[in-house]
Amino acid sequence: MRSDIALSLRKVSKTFYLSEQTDTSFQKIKAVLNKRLSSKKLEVFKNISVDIRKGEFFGIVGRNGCGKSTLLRLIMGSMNSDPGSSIETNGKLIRLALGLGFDVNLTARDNIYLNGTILGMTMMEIGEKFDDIIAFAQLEDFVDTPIRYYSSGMRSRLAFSVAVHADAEIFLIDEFFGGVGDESFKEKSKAVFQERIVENKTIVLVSHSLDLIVKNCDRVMVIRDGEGHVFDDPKDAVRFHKESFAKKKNQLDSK
Amino acid sequence: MIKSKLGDLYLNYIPSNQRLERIWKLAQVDFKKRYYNDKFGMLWAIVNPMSQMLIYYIVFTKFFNRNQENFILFLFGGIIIWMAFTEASNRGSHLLKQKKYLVENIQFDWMDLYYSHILSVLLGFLFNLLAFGVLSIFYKNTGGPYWYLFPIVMLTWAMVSLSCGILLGIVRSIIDDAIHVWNILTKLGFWASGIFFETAFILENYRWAAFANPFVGIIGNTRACLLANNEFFFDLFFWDLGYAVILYLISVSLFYRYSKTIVEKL
Repeated sequence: MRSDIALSLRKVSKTFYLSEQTDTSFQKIKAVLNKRLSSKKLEVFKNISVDIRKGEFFGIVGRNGCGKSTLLRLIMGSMNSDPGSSIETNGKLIRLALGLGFDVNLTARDNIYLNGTILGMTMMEIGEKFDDIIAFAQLEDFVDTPIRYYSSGMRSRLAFSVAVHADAEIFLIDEFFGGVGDESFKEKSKAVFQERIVENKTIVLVSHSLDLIVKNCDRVMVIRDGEGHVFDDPKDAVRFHKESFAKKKNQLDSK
Repeated sequence: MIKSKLGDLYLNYIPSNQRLERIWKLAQVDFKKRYYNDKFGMLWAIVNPMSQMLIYYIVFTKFFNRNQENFILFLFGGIIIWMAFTEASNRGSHLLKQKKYLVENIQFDWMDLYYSHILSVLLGFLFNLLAFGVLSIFYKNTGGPYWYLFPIVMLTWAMVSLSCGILLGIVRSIIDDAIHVWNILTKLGFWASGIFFETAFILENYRWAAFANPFVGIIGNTRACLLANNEFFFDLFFWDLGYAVILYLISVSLFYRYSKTIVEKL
């Protein structure tokens, strides 16, 4: 993979095999043994290929259920892609999604240390950045409060702050900004991301907010009918995406 | 300024190794969480095996007239090893589910979760060992001549426990009932691992069982390390170590092959 490429996807496909009857273990064994016979095949997308450059702000849009989040999970490596697919990454990845990444029974302090070490920071580095993480998340008064007492906005702020300070190289953001909390923090978060691009951070943003996509992204992929269409101009991508909605609506109306 | 707690600063004094720090932090958090909502906290880590030991001690000495030197320590040594194993394998079987919030969002080697899990169980085991030490003073036990081999016996324990947790997790992802079968097996194993019997007796009468079940050797050699006047079984020691290494290699290779499939099914 070229050194200026952060993420390289080649012919990435994902098919789910959904077992229809798996209530009991016997049915499960049967489903496993006769995988293709007793399960529904759901082809989410096929042959998606794209190179995402280092420092690029890359958007992914598509209808609900088109596989945007699945694609991020494949990139994260928490799911298997179909045989023949190739995903190469060049840098430390973090996925930001609402309410994820924290153990709710632990305090913010423990969660920061836990996430920090998993993201590749040493205890010393976390200790040095600890105050900044808390200050950025505006949680100075709740450092030793278990996360389960936090509002969703507070959790998102903390997740965002840890990610930014942990120096991950590639951010996979899955509908995250909707839950970040108040408007001023949203603006602050977006501004930080824009600054980070200059510092060679790569961002892959999945969002239904087309404004956010148009304002921030350098390129956009639209997943439509299981295929990935990449556009150099986000406005073209949004137009294409809206067309698919109109097309679908017409199909439904004609029925 | 929000000060970091002392517990998080200790590593400043030893050479920094990011992976070890991660495993340690995961283990520390896991251990803390286990007794999180309990009023008496970590005291339960000692109370549980001690209560079991007392029950069996009373049953065997009063009802079966077992008169053996330091029988209470003999029992305790076996029970703490076995309880640590069942805890490690049972909780290890749903570790990925428990840590789903991490595996889905941050890229790291998921095997670290298993290493930290074993470390966390070993932390609990250390408390039991401490209780064993206190009892030893009381019963004037001086320990065995092969005490220096105890870390290797525990390494064997760790590899077997870790492997069983991983393999059970893989099987559970296909068949949930596997955990019930495993519970039956561990109950059988409790009586067939030499917790109540001398290892020499099992070797003499059921030699095949002593080699098929690594815990016969692990428990027997733990006693040989910790208790005076207990024979060390070198044949079982080397056999179990080889057994553990092979089991570890198989389970780890299966884990790397199937872990994504397991996470996908969670």
